[in-house]
Amino acid sequence: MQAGLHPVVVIACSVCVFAGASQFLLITLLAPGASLLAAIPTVLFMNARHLFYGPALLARLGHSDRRLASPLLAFGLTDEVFAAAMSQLERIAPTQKERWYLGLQLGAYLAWVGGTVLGVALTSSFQDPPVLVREGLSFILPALFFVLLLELDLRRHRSVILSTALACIVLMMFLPAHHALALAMVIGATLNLRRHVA
Amino acid sequence: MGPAALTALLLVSLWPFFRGVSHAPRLLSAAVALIVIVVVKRRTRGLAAPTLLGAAVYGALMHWLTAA
Repeated sequence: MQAGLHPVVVIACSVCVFAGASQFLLITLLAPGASLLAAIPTVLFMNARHLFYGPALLARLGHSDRRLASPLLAFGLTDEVFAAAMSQLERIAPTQKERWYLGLQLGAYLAWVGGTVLGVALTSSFQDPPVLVREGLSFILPALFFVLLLELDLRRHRSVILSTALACIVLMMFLPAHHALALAMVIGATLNLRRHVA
Repeated sequence: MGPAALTALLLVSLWPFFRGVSHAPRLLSAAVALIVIVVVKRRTRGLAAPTLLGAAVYGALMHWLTAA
C-alpha cells in the first residue's frame, strides 16, 4: 500500500506469493517500475535456499505414506514452516505426518493471507503502532526459531549448532542474509553428516 | 539438516538485533528476552507461550528503554 499498489493487488500478491521476504522484494522492485523479467529471477535467486529445504523435509516426511504431490507440499514451504516441521515431524506418527504438515502450512498460509487482508483494512488506523507492539512483533521470528532450537537435544547437536552459528556469523559479515543462511545450513549439515559417517 | 537449519535461521533473524554498537537497548532487550524464553521453555512444554512471552518481554523492554 505504501508503495502505491492497489489493495486488490496487495492481497492477490499474498495469495499467489506465499513468501514474506520475496513479496517485499517483489514489491520493492515492481513499485519503482522494474519489469517482471528482472524481478522474478531476483526473487527466485533469493529463495534458492528452498532447494535445500525441500529434500530435507521430504526425508523427514518419509516416502511410503505420501499421497500428495510434491508441488502441493512445496507451495506452503516457508522458513517458519520448515523450522517447525523439522523440529516436530519426528514426534508425529508416520501415517499422520503428511496430514500434520499440510495443516501446518495451511494454518501459516491462512494467517499470512488473513494478516494481509487485516493490514489492508486497518492501514489508515495502524500507520504508527506503539513501540511495544511494533518491537514485540519484530522479535516474534527470532523467538520462534529459538524455541524450536530449544526443542532439540542441544547436547547431542552441540558441535553442529556451534559450527553452523560460527559459519553463519562469518558469512553474514560478507554476504546478504539469505545467501549466508543457505551456505551456513549446508556447512552445518555437511559437518553433521561427516560426524555421523566418522 | 534440522539443527543446522534452525541455527542458521535463528542467527539470520537475530542478526539485525545484534549488529552495530549503537543499539545497546536492542541488544540488551534481545538478550533478556532470550533468557526469558529459556526459563519459560523449561517450565512449559508448548511452543506458543515461550515465543509470545519472549516477544512481549522484548517489546516491553524496548518501550521502557527507549522511553527512558
